[in-house]
Formats: sequence, C-alpha cells, structure tokens
Amino acid sequence: MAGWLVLIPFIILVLMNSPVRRIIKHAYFGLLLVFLSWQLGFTIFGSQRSLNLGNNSLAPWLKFQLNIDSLSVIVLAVISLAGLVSLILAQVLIKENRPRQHFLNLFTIAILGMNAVTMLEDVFSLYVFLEVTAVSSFVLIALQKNRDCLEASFKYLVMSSVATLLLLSGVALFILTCSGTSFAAISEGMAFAGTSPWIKVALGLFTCGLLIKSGMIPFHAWVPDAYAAASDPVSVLLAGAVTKVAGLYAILRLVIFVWGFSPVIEQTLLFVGALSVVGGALLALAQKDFKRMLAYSSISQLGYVLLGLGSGTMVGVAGAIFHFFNHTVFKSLLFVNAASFKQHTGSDDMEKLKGVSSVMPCSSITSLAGFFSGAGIPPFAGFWSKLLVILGLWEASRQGYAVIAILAGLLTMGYFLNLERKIFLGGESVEFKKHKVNNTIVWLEVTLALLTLLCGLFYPYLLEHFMLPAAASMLP
Amino acid sequence: MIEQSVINLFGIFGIFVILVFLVGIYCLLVTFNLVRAIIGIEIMTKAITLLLVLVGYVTGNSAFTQALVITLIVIEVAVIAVAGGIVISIFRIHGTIDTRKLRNLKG
Amino acid sequence: MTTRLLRSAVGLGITSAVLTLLMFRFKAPLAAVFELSVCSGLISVVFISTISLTQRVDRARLAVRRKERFGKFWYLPILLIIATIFLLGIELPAFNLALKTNISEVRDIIWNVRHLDLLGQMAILLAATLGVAMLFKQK
Repeated sequence: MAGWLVLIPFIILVLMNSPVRRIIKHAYFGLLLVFLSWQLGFTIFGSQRSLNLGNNSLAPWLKFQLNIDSLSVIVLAVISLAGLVSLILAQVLIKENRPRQHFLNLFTIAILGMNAVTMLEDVFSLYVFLEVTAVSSFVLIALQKNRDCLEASFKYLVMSSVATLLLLSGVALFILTCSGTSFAAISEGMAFAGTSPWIKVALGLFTCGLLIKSGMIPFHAWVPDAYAAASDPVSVLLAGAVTKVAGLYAILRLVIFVWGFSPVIEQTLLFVGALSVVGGALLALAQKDFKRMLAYSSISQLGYVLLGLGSGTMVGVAGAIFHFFNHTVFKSLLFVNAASFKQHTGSDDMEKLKGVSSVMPCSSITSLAGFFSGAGIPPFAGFWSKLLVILGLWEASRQGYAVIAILAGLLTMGYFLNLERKIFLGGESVEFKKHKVNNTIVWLEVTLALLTLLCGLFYPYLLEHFMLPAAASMLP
Repeated sequence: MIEQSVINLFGIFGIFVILVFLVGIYCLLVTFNLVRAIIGIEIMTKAITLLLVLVGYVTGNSAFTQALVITLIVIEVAVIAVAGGIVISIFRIHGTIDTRKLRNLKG
Repeated sequence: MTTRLLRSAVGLGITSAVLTLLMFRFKAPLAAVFELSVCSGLISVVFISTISLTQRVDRARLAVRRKERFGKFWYLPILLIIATIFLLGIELPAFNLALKTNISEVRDIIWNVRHLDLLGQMAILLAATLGVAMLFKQK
C-alpha cells in the first residue's frame, strides 16, 4: 500500500511522456485526479484497517522502507487535498496544451516527492526526497518565465540549497555518532549518548536546515517572493503542501518520534514559533499585494504549529497537528479567492479590490469563511486548533508564550479585517472587467468553505480518530 | 564512545572542512553575479562531500558513505542543471545577470 | 569580467580534482572516481556553457572591472597549496578496522539495499530534464 503511493505517480509520469501519450492524449488530468482522490479516500476511510502493517513491501525484491502511521495519514490527506485544489485550478486557468503538460509533469514529481517524504524512515532518504520536491518546485515557480518568477525561483534555489547543506552536515554527524541513518538507529543513539557535543551540533545544524526550508523567521526571505510571483495553482500547491511537508512535517516527525522532547529543543521551537507568529502578522499588516499578504499570513500560522509542538504536552501537539490540517484548507480557499479576484480585476493589488463584493458575491462570502477560520473565530475549525495550542502552552506552564499567541491572534484579525473591509465596504471606485464567473472555481470555493466549517463543527470526531492517536505516539 | 585519535583526525580535517564551507559562504554573500552564487554553492557541497567521506573513514563503514556520496553527486548535478537553466532564462529576458540591476522584487 | 568567471569555473574543476585525490587517500575509490568524472567534468562543462551563453560583449569595462575585482578570488590557489600539504604530509592514523573497501559492497548497497534512493534519483533526474527542456523552450 505504501509503495503504491510512491510508484503510481512515477508510472503515470513515465507513461505520459512516452510515445503512448499520443493514444491517451487528454487522460493526464483524469489519471492524476483519480490517483489523488484515491489517496484522499484511503486516508479518510481505509486508514483504520491498515496502519502499521509491518513490512510494507510490494514484492520481495523491491525493498522500500516505507511506513504509514497515524501522523503520516493526516499529512497524506493534506497533500492530496492541496494537490486536488491545485490540479482543478490548473485545469481551469491554464488553457493551452503545452504549458498544461509542463505543469502536470512537474506536479506529478512534486506529489511523488511529498508522498515519499511522508512515509520514509531514514534520514538520508529524507534528504533525497526533499531535494526531489525542491527541484520540482523551482521549475514550477519559474513556469511562466517572466521577471518576477525567475528571480523568486532563483532566490528559493539558493536558500533551499544552503538549507540542504546544513541538513547534510547534520546527517554526516549522525552517522558518526549513531552509526546509521535510519530513524531507529538515531533514536537509539540519542538514548545512548544524548549529551555528547557531537549530537548537539548535529541536532542544531539539522534543525537550522529544516527551519530554513519551512520559512520560519528569521529564515523567511524566500517565502513572500515565491508565493506572490508564482502562478495561482503553483501558489496553492506551495502554500498548502510543499512548505509544510518539506519543512514542518519533517520537524514534527523528528521531534515526536526520533529526538524526543528535551528542554533545549522545546525552548528553540517555542522561540522560533513565537518570532514567526508575531513577525509574520506584523509584516502582513503592511502589505498591499494580496498574495504577499497571504504569504506572510502563512508564516504566521505555521508559527502556531511550532508553538504547539514546543509545548511538549499531548494537547498542544494534537492542536499543532490539527492546525497543520486546517491551514491547508483555509489557505487554499484564500488562494483560490485570490485567483478569482485576479481574473476580475486583473492584478493582485488590494486597492483594486474595493467593492468587489457587489460583482462577485460568492468569492467574497467564501473569503469570509477563510478569514474566520484563519483568525480563529468559532465555530470554524481554526478556532479549535488555536485553542488547543494555547491550552497546551498553558498546561506546560509557558504562560508567556500563550499570551503571545493570543495577542498574535488579534493581529491576525487585524490584517484580515483590513482585507474584508476593502472587499465589502469599499464602494465602486474601479471599473471591473465584465467577466463571466467560472463555475468550477465557484464550486471549489464553496466546497472548501463548507469543509472548514464542517471540520469545526465535528471537531471532536476528528480529534479522537485522527489527531490524538498521532499525538499519543509521543508518549514513550 | 569516540576515541582520542578520532578527535585528532577531526581536529585537522574538520578545520579544513569548516574553512572550505566558510569560503563558499563568503563567495555566495559577496558576489553580484548569479553564476558566482552557484559556484559558491558548489564549493560548499565539496566541503560536505569531504565531511561525509571523512566520517566514513573514521567509523569504518566507508561503503555506506560512498553510496551516500554518489547519490549526493547525482542530486547536485540535477540542481546545478536547473540553476543554470534559470540563469540563462534570466539573461534572455533581462540581458544582464548582475543582481544590482535585478532588484525587482522588494521586501 | 568574463575571463574572471571562466577562471573561477576552471578553478572549481581543479578543486574537484584535488578532492578526488583526497578521497583516494581516505580509501573511498568509487566515490572518488564518480566525483572526478561528474563534478570535475560534467559540472565544469555546464558552468562553462552557462557562462558562454550569458556573456556580454563589452570590452570597454573589462579593464576597469579587473582593477576593482582584483584579489577577490585569491583563495583558490592558496586552498590548492593547503590541500597538497594535507595530501603529502599528514599521517592518517591507522584505524584497527582492516579497511579494504570492497567495490562489490558499495554496488550492493546502492542497487540492493537502498531502493528508495534509486527511485528518488530517477525522479530528480526526470524533473531536471523536464525542467531544463521547459526553461529553454522559446515561443
């Protein structure tokens, strides 16, 4: 089962680039749609039966060391959700055949890389598949070949390569001290000699590398340019899947399963998380461009995940994982809104959005749903996940950080209110292009808005079946 | 757990590795030219390759680290190829690869 | 400016060659051969082709730039000298593990044990190929 999630994208890619494609010319989109829906369905319905199957191998001669457990299930759902939204948006927005073929090729490789990152058990394979995801992201950002996206792609390339090199030096030091690179060998080595300076240096380098990849402050320089300059389907994929899986999921997996919660790790995570939450919110207040504001907002929300993780309690970690999932839903919704607004007004500038609610009522109302969930207003899902994080921080007697989280929630409300004020109360100051609203985008927005509302209303069910089992594996 | 001779060996070659890494970072930070930035990344990668081979020699399983080094080199080639492609595309659009003239994206 | 860049790229190739010799000394022959053929050969070719595709024919500024940039890359020859000293001078402490690298062991690890890394390498090579083909396409 785990192996198929990695092999099927590879087979689709090879098939669609071989001479066979002339026969099944328009099937690329359909094949990917079926595959991602199957992945989503597997994580929601089938996961209860087939967790921890032991040796997840397809054939005796094919030795993939892949393992799906409760944390991987949630992240696989996140990847398939962001992938589906990005795929449908690309089908609507990219109209010519050639660019669509390019996009779908690289999209398949990105999905392959992220699926593999979710399921693997070895630190060096983590490096390999992080690079796979990163290379496909570089090319995806540079797809339109105009000034902004090439510059953003190069900046991302340089910072990602530096992060990779720091990660690799951590791996080399792990080989030195723990004589192996699999997760089991490293946790054994850490239990055996956890205080030697080699291991501390290795941990520090590794964490720095992963924090650069996840775009936390002070390593966030590539995030706004990459999100704003990329085309809309690519922005959805980046914000909803790549940054989170490549950076944050790796930190989650390593801290919960491999390294354990020592005070130094907790302190670092809390500090970086608090910096990101406050810094991201403050920088988002000053933005005039819609997608740049959403990028800084992403940095802020992902800081909440680090805060929840750093609290060290089960409630906090469950809240962090829940917020990981919620962020995908409402951020994808907001990016789809940005795409539909751009079709109407022609640019991403927020000044041009004045009074657009009279012309596009559906997009405006669903952007309200995204705003409520992001700012943490009940009964939307964002409220519960942020509440759990703050409760976890309080329980771990880190009241200072809990207060910072609450204050940053107010800042979040600030910049979102700014946006909604422009959309709803701006008055007709700009001539809007007479554009027929695309039905597919409307359906997509409504589905995502309903999803975030339902996740908020049914959150006890989600917590009990998905988040708490994942958080419970942190107990020894 | 790690003997004294290992630390001696590391003391000499470790300083060398750190030196090369710092040279790479200096090259990356100081340059105004995109191609030089890629050369800086390459120099840092050489330092990490040397570190991996060193660790393999010290712990004895050099076969394992050689496999890792080979994988690393393959991935590096892919990244350098894409970086070169991006630089050539930037040149085709702008006519320059000087970062002082490319300050389009702010913030 | 262009000759300086070309010298940097060639210097990178020479650094790779020196690194190869160091790796031979550390009893890692397979990795050394790979590094020599790929980094010192392939990557230098990629760099030189990139530089020649992005150069501007601008003779007038070359002399001024040369004065400005003098001494920026003085470290490369010094690094070479240091590396040569390491090669010839330092006695590597003999570790009691009889270290004879079995070539078949490395081959076994790559092809039989770490299948997932193989899939990753194939995927990344496909990604780089498709990416470069897309980036070079002109409408």
